Amino acid sequence: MTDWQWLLIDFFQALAAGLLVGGTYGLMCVGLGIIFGVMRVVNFAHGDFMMLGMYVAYYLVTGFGVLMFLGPYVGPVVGAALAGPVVYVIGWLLHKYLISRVTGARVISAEAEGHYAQIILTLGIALVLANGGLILFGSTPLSVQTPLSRESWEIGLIFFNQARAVGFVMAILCAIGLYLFLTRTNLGKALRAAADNPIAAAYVGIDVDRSHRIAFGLGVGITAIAGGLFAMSQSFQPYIGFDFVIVMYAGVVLGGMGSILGAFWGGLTIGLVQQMSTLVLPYQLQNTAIFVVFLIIIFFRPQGMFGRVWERT
Amino acid sequence: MASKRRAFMQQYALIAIFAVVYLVIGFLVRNSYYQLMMTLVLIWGTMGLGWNVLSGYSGMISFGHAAFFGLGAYTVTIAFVKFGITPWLGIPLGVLVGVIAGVLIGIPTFRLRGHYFALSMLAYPLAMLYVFEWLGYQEVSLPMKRENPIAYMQFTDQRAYMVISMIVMVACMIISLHVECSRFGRSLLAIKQNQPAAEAAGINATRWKMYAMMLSAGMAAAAGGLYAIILLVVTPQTVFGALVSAQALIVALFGGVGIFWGPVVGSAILIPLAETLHAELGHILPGIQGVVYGLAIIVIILVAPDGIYWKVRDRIMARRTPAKVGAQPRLAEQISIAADAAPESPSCLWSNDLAA
Repeated sequence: MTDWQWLLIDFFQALAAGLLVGGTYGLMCVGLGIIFGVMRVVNFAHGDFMMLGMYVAYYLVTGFGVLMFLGPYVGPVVGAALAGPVVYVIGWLLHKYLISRVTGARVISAEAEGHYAQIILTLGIALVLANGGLILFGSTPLSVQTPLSRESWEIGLIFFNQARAVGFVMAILCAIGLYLFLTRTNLGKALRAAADNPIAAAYVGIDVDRSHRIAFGLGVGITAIAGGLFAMSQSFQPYIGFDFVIVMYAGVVLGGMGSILGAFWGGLTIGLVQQMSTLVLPYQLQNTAIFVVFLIIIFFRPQGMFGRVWERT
Repeated sequence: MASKRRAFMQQYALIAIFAVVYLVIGFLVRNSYYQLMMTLVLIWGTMGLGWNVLSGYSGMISFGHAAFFGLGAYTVTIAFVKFGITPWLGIPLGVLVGVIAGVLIGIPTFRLRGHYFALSMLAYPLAMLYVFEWLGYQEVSLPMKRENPIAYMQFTDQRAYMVISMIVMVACMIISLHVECSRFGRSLLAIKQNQPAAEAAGINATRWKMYAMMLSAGMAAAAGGLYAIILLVVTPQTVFGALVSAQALIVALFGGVGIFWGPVVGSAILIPLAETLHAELGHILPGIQGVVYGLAIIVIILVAPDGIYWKVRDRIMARRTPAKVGAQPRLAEQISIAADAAPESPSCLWSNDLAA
């Protein structure tokens, strides 16, 4: 085979890897996008909810072995899906008792204010979750055991890691499910209304505070599912959250803040850039490539790919 | 004018008293670990002051001040290790590099506002982090100089570093005080409250924001340079990491935003708290110090959402002039600025009130 053919294969291999990783990133970003879109809160603890999702999936599948009966193929996927509701409850409670005190009605009247307290509060929650995770789970890197992560499907000359491919399909299904929920159900419409204009939403009888609580739970739950899926092909430890929260924010801003499904495309772009950059750049500069692309897109299109111009100010 | 000068002198006197008392305590402390801790308080205080000049006054929250901190630290280190330049020159050089970086980052980033600005700032230090790792500066240590150590800012006595850090921090406090009480600070305040309105009133927002960015970056770079000198080891994670940016805004937001005492108070409370927890509990149960620190931040921010300084000041004001302050919040609520009205007034303004 000639050189350029190898080059082409490398290119498509990186494209495939980028798509597969990007799908999971996309789902994570959607989770963050819901919280940001509906509540306008910068949630620094988001990566740590993803970490919780990974551990929930791990303990359900490997640790306690509750899902052993499902076998090594279906078990991890079901484990990841179940991490969603568990983390939803945690997020719901945290919002009810902590986050609602610095968000909601008070912020609506004073848009620029109140952010300080939110930032500190979510940083505090992030510290507690990451370090609490260290106490509870230990610092040994873990991963959800599945034979999928060692096998790949071969299409033509391109390899698709099975764990990542399954994660990708699940992520797409979740994103579609969420899209249908947001556009077709009354609750989903209420969430979008609360995001678009909280005051008007309150006038038409939507309980904005409840919408925020559901949005927060849903956001962290979705990200936990993505975390659980990601845990099949990636080892993790309690401090993984902070690295990811930044990648997630890059995805959300790329998609356009306030656009929930734009976040998915933002996340997908991040995954593609990360994997494709290895074609031309040294491996260590993967994340630098993400941030450079992020900055370039932001400067030329500050409202993101799907954002609205008036959101900028 | 007379009352304004009096307010200035009052603040100068307070800064002087604070510095002297702090150094006296520092000199009485024998344990070198506590001396190091007291020096770190000053460094993070300087870092918080730097963050406050841009983000506290102009309201453009930056999540990326680690970029300047890291550049300051690496400039000092690389100048020392590669070119044998003494930190006495290295730190000013680091400040210069920081200021230039501030301009280069400011030019494109000031086009963005609000959350977009905050989150794009996040990207700079992290992009730099991996570049420095890739360049092979994973861990650079500053070598010991046996001959003439003082010319290379190396002292056997920890307290010398404390004095140097105090000089830097006091300089930053005085600069901040003058920013707060000048046309500069008022312009930033106007930009914070409503940028289009400020521009309509003839304030050149871009210019003032750029000045604030330069000052802010310089202070953060100075803090980074001192950090390198004191810890003697620089790694990309410890100077460019997201936790450095977080620390800058935590000390400032915790202590009080928009007032130069805020970051100092925040640093003086949080750094010893974190270090003590780390030393006392860290080896018993790894992670417990982070949990307690996180809980402390959560509890205090729920009690004082605008920071310790404003909470304490409101308490003192309420005791001194109950009638006057009693009326203020109600009025403030009516125009829906709520409790956030108080932090908007620079220190010299309320000193004026008292003097009048």
